[in-house]
Amino acid sequence: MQITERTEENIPIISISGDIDLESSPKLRAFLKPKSSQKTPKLLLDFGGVNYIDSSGLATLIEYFQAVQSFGGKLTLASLSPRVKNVFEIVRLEQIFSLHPDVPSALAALKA
Amino acid sequence: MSETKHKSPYALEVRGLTRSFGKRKVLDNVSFQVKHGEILIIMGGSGCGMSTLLRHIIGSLKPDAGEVYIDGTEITKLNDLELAKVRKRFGMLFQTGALFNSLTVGENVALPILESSDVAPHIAELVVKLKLELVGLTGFEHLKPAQISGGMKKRVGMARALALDPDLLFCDEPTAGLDPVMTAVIDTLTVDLTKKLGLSAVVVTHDMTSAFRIATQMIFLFEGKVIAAGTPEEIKANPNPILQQFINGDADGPIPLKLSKDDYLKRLLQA
Repeated sequence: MQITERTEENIPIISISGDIDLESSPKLRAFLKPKSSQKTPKLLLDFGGVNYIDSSGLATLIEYFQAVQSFGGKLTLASLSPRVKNVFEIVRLEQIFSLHPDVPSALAALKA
Repeated sequence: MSETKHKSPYALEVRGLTRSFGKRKVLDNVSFQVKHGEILIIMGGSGCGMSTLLRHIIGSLKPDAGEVYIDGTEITKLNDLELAKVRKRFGMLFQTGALFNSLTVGENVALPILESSDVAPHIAELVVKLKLELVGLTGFEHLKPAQISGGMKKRVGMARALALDPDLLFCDEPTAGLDPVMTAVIDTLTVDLTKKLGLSAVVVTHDMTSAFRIATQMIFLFEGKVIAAGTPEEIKANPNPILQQFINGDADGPIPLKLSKDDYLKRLLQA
């Protein structure tokens, strides 16, 4: 799993590629921890390169989502493959996460 | 595991599996395949070798002859360490649930996660919540197995089998002892997992309603042999009287109930 970060219109965009699984999810967690402790108001996760996410990956995202609730932080996810989207849907997480077909629409949702 | 990582077109392939206990041949040249994303139902009378077959497939028993391939890896000759690696990719739901009574429901489900990785306890806790919701047991994580019903234990067993997001799921009578609504919940879950996540499942069951509802392929074991195999439609249309007696649940038919009685009288009178 690879993680890269860039900023667009003051919003950090995190691009993830590869598999988010038991082995790699601690790395994602370590990356997201400072984002929540620094109270990052808006964050976009670009899933365009993600082939696979397991439950530990979902749990890592839920943990971040829980942490940002305290300061009203916003999170959007972009470009999930149909299979990755299914992993969210089977545990009804599409109801709490803001999922978008591409980065521009996810960015627009954060700015709204 | 991602779909692209499959090594073989078959999630599971069993070739010529044969096993005897004493003089009794419990498995007699059993062969079948399960493609990725399929649900194979194994049917047969009680004591027809179905659980024995499952135990061979997961590597806890070794056959006299034959091979078992899990996504292309032959497992009957693997040592414990190699087998443990393959086992991480499949989940197993045992007939009784097989929970640890001293642990809570949540701890039982978390066990495979904490055993196989150094994921943080909070992450494991969240995964437990996701899995318990799948089996309709949200909020039960703090109870002990003794405080829940048999059917609930089975669903906890299912949640535990799914804890590591397996590619392949083995279920030994997943719906026995469940009410019709919960049976439908478990059936829907099994179908969703295969359709949405590409999982494959092998299910041993006596529940014909459930079997025909979820199967993509079925095999029928009788006296250790596969006597019928095919899609649910093919199985329904198969004229084999033994198979028809079984799926229709008829007391009268070729399945030799009386044979054991004769045998019993003969044995009783033997000096």
